[in-house]
Amino acid sequence: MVKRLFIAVLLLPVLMFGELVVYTYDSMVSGLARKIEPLFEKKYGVDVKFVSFGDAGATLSKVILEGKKTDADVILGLDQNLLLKAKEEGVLFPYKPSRYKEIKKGLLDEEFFAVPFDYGAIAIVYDSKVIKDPPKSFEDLLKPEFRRKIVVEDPRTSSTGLAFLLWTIGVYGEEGFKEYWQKLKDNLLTVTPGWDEAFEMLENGEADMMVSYLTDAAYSYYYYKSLRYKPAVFKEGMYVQVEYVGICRFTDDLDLAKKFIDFMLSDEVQQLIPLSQWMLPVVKVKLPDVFEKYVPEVDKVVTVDAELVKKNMKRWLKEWEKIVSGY
Amino acid sequence: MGKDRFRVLMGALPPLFYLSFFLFLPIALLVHRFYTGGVFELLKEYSRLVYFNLFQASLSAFIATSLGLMISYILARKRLPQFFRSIASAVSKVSFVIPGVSMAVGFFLLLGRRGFLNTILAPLGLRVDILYTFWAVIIGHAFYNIPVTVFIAGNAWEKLDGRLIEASKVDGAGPWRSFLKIELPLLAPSIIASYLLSFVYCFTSFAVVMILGGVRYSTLEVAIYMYMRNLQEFNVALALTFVQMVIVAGVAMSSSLFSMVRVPIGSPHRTRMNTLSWFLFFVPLSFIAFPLILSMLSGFIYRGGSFSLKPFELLFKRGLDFLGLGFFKIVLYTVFLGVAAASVSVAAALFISYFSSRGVWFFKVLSVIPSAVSTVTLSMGYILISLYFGFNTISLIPFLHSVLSIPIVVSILDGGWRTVPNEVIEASKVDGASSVVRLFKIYIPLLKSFILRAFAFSMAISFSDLGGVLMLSERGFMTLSMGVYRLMGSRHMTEAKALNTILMGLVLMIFLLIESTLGEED
Repeated sequence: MVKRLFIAVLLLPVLMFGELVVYTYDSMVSGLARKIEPLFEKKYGVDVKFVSFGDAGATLSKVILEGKKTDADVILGLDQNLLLKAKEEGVLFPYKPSRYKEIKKGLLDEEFFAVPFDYGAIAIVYDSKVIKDPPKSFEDLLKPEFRRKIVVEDPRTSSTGLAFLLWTIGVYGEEGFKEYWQKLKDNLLTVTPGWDEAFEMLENGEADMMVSYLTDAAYSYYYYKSLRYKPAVFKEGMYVQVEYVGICRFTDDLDLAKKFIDFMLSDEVQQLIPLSQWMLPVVKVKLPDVFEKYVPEVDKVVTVDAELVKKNMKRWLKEWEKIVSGY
Repeated sequence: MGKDRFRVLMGALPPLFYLSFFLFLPIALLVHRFYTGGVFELLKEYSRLVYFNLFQASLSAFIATSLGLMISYILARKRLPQFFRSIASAVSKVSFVIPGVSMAVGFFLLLGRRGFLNTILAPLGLRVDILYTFWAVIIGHAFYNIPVTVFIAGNAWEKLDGRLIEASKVDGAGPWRSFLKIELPLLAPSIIASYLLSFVYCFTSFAVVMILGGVRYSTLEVAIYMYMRNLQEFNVALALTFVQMVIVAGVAMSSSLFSMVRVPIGSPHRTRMNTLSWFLFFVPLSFIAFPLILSMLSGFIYRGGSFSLKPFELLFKRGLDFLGLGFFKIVLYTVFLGVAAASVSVAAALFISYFSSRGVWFFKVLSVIPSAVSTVTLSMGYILISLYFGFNTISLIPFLHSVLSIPIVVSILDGGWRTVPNEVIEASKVDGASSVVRLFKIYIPLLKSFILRAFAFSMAISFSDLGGVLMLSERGFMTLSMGVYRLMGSRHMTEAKALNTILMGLVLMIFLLIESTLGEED
């Protein structure tokens, strides 16, 4: 009896205040998460724990691995491609947040297994000191003057690289993209495993262009007052990476998890998105000045049908590998 | 005799238990959960890639081993000034553990189109255009693997009894003949062990082939990464891991032909340095030193511009605040983890290498297997262990790290055991000393230099791991390499490189410390 009482007393704080465990990718933990953690804790009087295991892919792998035994209540930061996998593996629980109608069109997951919380376009970013006539389209990228000047990330190991591959598929179609890469190959200096190495090559003058993000100029202006590396807007349209937040199917506090999803869409969180994620908010909030000034408008968005991606991703990656490796 | 056999069996149990629990169990759990077959179909699909990489790894390892042997020769047989000796042995070890991005920056700064070499060659109208070719892959692999040879073969060479060489000189043999007739046969096991390990590391290479080579030179490891991390198709990733394990085990088995050679020890026979010696010393060393120095210096470059202390200022002002953990705490965690991992690793390897050095090829093969399993795969298995057995994942990290360094630590200590004369082992048995007493009173003092170096290496491997600590650590825990990763992932490149320079500096310091203590004893 005494023992039981003792355990009950020990458990009391946990039961009273509850705890929400959010699985996310690594850089989120020190960035946005640190800002929103106290906000949510104050609002609901609970403890929120953000934990990470590497990039978003590693995080999803961990959830799949843990299955029913997972601690995760919420999964934060899956992009549209990982979301497909997460749905297929059945680790998400659908929830329609109260503000869903205000979310920017085209980003929603129709079945509400997860909800977008930010998005941003990828772009070719160039060194404006070296390149005076930047490319304005995919066709421009093929110009002979850019021979061996471009680095892209490997779609097999990098989500940015995968987004770029899908962008070309969205523009040129399932057959056309192969022809395009065949031509683009001559202008590629190399393919890097991740964004970091590509960026190093740009900064060290090894390459003149790389696949990066449309907010790059705003970022470097904000931190370094430099506008040397600029994004190019392509007339074929831009490809947008969307980041989602979803409830883990094995959560032990569904209510709290739902509250967190709504919280991610609240003005107070959405306002923090631009300067901590360097992405765009999904509901209408006022953007900081650097965004107004240095992030180009996107008129046209290129998409690839999710079903098509799910069905063909592996094949596309293999075809890409074949073309770029020259085997 | 019966008692002796019983003793051997008892000695074999701890390492077997260790390997079963920390290497095979995690893989078995993953297989149990996810594996549905398909090795042979994949083998067909990837056969071309496998063949090419067998070739690539053979050549890379051959070149790395040859260059490493040149340095080892100078260190063992020439009166190299102590200053160069310490620098060379420390520098040639740091490269082994530096992360991919820093290695890449080093090579961009050296061989890139605006790199050091092209800047000095430009006035002469010459250009080096070697990056992103097959040769860049070879050079990158030499950079990473020369240390393997210096460590394994070099160590044994230094211990080799100088009187044997003097005796052959008296017999009228020149340096080449004495090398071929006397030294080479005695050093064969450690040279082969060096080649084997280099081969395995080149075969499973990731950063070098991707960054310095390109898509054309992809290894199986790249495919495993894709299936494991980005497509979440664990089945395929596991099947490819099997393929890799079989190849690596096969190579390891064929190398155990020379396993019974003992190395007679004594004080080294050293002759004067001449022009050729300096050449043999500096040429291979430049493969490591230049990229390494440049990559360490890259922490001082502020945004692709000139050298300054600004990156460090930014790191301590802004970067660490972003990480949310004090600098000393991060260093402390890193060192603590390294020491824990190295202790486990050296303890386990002492047993494993005892057997492998005495011709039990089974242990040699087992000890190489970890290099065929990628860290992330192994960590996922550890997550399953923690789920099934209720361990904290974070408490498993030292064991994971110890397993990662087993291949190299066993090779180093294997070379060490070969220097312990059989008579010593037999005599101490006759004395009736218990195994534990023998271990601490006799063997450990005899193997001291090998143990210290293996310990340092193991620590450095623990420092450089990223995939494992990311998967298994908990909130509030951070190592230096995790800090570098997080800074990079959030576009704090300048701060990340500064922190990375600190990490490399720390590794360099540890090796220098070890080398200087050993140097004083000599």
